[in-house]
Amino acid sequence: MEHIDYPHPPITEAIIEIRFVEPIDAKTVEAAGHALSRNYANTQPWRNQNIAVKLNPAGFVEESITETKLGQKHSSSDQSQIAISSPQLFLVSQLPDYPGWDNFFLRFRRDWELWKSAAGYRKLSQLALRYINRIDLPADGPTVRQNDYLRIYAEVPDEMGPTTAYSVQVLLPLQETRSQLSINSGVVASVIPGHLSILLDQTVACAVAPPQRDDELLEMLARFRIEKNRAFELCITDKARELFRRG
Amino acid sequence: MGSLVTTSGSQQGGHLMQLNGPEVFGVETRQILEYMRNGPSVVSVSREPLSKELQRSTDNMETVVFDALAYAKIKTSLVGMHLPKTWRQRLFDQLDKLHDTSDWEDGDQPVTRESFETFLRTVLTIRPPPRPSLGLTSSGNLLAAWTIESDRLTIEFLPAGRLRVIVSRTMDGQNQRAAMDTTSDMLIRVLAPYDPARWLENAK
Repeated sequence: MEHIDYPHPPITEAIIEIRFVEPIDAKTVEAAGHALSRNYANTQPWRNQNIAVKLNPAGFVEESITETKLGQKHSSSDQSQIAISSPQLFLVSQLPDYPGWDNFFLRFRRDWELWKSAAGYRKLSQLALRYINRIDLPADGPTVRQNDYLRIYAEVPDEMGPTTAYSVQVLLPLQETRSQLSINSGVVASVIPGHLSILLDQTVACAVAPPQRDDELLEMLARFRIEKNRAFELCITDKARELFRRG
Repeated sequence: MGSLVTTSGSQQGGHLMQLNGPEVFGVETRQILEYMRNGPSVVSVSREPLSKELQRSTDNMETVVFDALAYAKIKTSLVGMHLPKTWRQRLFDQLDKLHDTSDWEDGDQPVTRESFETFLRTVLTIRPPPRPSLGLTSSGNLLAAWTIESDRLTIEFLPAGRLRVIVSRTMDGQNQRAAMDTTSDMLIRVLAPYDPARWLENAK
């Protein structure tokens, strides 16, 4: 499927993330952070916080918060470019304005080289590419027909009336890259007056024998991008494309 | 006929378990939810929760100011696709200048998250707005002012979408002044008698 560059893409965050088999010692994390900091206006301490919701053996909902060890978060002065180095992971993140894949990937390559120059080779446990999209649908009336814009949604019988919210997750194997595509979509609180917002959150990740060599890693990310783009175009309609063209 | 989503009472999509009591879930449903949790985990900067341990000490003003500015810039970026690019960059320059603490008095505060969120919502309601002059109250509420000749519109952005508005407008040769408390959704309507397009070119 042909890739389209939209003048107003709905991307709210693009992330390339690398996770390591063994946690990296604090001194090395600090050295890697120091190497990265030269390209960013700001550096702060960072701690990854995961909130997990589960059922305990008694059948009651239990929320647990786990935090990984301290790392460093580097940001540009406008906070749109982020890099994070921690014992468990290295990631590069881009908030709007999305500068296009070439510029985003170039920054990732630059920072990955800097990180490796300080930390050396570390065995990867996961390589992932994540694009979070927020599609703001104009709400001209009391309801919005999401299937006018999206091909992935929760469908309920019309007789049940309109929904207030929904959440959908699909996991799809990608055989060629030995990876998995995860798509999460659902209604989210809209920050744009007169609109209803729907999240379309895609992750392509390889956790089974991820590439360890740089050339293979970069090639796999390029293939992830193709898979992600294909999935995105399959999930939206021409009416959504028109939104992304005109803004 | 496809599915519809109602715009009234729409809420943030949450984990299924948080929407229902545990007694709803049988073994098969739990298995499905467990399977869903096994999707890849990738950190998101824009969606990460605030770590309580990293909440800054209010004694460190430099850190407090940095956090306030970072929050404002990230929030703006996340709606940036609905704002002109140059407008956003100029906003950031203005915010940086406002937060030069060398001119601050004791007790001055950076822009609060709540005030900035109201400012952003108001801007998106009347987008794209002409660039205002910005100010900051000592308690951290953002102020915006638009002046055309002797006519002035000043808005203080309060938490929870509330606005404190002061209008000074010459109409039929007489100066009219009004002060009102309203909301971002009602702003254009309450300004109607004063011709808001005088300051806000695209006001509806």
